[in-house]
Amino acid sequence: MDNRDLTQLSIIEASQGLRAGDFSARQLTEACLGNINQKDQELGSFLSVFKDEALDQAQLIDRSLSSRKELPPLAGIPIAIKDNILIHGHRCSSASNILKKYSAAYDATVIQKLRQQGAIFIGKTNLDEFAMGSSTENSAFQVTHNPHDLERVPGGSSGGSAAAVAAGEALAALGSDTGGSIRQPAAFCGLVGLKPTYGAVSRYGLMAFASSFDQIGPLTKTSQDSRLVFRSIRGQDPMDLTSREGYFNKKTEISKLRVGVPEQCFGEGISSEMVKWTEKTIDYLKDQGARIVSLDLSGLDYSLPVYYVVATAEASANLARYDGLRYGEAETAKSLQETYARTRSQGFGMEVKRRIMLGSYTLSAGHYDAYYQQAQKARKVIEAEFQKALVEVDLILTPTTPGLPFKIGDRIDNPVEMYLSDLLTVSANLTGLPAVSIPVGREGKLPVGMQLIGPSFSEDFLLQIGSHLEWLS
Amino acid sequence: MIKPSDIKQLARLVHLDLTSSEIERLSQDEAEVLNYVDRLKQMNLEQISIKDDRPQIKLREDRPVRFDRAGELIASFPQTEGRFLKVPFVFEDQDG
Repeated sequence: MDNRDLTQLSIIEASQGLRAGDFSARQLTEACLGNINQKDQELGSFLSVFKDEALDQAQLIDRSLSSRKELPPLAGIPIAIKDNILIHGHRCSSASNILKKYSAAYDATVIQKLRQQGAIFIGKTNLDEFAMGSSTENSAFQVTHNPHDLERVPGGSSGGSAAAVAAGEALAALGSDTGGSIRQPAAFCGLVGLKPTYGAVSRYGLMAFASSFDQIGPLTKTSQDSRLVFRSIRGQDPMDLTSREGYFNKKTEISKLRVGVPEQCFGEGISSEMVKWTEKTIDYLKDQGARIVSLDLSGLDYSLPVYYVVATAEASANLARYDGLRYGEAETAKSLQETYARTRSQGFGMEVKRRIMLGSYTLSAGHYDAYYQQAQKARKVIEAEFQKALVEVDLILTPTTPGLPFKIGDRIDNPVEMYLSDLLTVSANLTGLPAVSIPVGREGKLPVGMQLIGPSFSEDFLLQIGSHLEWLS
Repeated sequence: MIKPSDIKQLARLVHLDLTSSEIERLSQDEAEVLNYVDRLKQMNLEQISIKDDRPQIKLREDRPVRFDRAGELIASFPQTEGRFLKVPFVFEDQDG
């Protein structure tokens, strides 16, 4: 057997090792399970672990490998799945008490696709309840810790997925991103996190939070791995009518790139560390011959308010389905109204209640024009502004987060401060554009992520550029 | 601050039973968030139409498809009577 720590391999390295016979899929899976066993009590990345099923699956892959069958690149690769994505026959809780015993009756499309590839599902990861949060502290079941500093948050809402990959408990993970929920935890945990173009990946089988923003995407160690997982899960799906195919061709030489940097990256709310790393990244790109263009994207100042109006409005409608009648936890009372109210009051946590209330408020008569309608109009203006900018430049560069990973407990009682974590990521969800967070370096022991935003369906292009920026120094 | 009475009314509409401490906390939290969101009002958007001008989604044909695992869905019903989903009375005056 190979002497390397198998859990530190990228998917591409592991895939090569499996084919070369350096180690088996069972050994690779056991190595990840070993890390879960050793570290997860402290980290809290997983809500459930599929030990026996994963080992059985690995054995099947090993048999195919020994018979020299041609296998897809993800065959035998242990992957963790955020617990708001359905896997048939397994609990899917969205980290909410209201679904704590809910078992999925079908596979999400992304799960079907990964199954066809022979990927090994190692377990379901923790998240902020219904993906509402930026720290994974809003889970009804446990807090996840950042593997780089256990006193700090791993980011959120896909914090369990990010911590699992960073700690070698899985080689890759799927997350979902509504306002930054893949990119921000990727940045906090030193990973590559991709939010694909809206519609590039089917949402069928993803528990809906804000349907016009939600996208599933990968968290991986490298840009090349991200590309591999993204290629396996993307594509039009008859079960999600907003899914679509798209094409994009662009030159990838850095020397010919025009990189737009919004002025806001150096402005209010951005920490000095992030300004420093933005400048470092810019210097590297300049050294490579890229042209840096300063962008005045005034819409960026309004992205977060627009996001919190529209996303909570959509959430208040999407979460109306959790009523205790057809599935999930039920607090049955004499009347229907009482059953609804008791089930929902006991089933939902505080952040979910806060967002349902806010969303209903901004949609209600008397406030609709001032909030919801105004936000929808502003969303159109921001979309147009980004489209225009992406004619002038090939991609937009920003830090992924306004600051470094914060301490557990620091922001949980201050919703606005917590929401500000999404300051730089929500625009990609408002506009539907693809965006990726790339780990560029460390500040002490804490990783720093930079975000690249590109035109629709430019994921391969962004990841190609991203691969040059990984761990710059 | 949003008036606690407004929070109560809203909670009733979204089917949440809130405790008095939750009402107090939410009226303060929502006010803070709205105060932040209020910067949207600075944008001059009078000329912008909210009409969705993106291409229309082509809906799939509306025809029934057999779902082999209906039993699993039925098994997750919180309450059943025979093979039916059991729910409380819809009209409260029929109760009892």
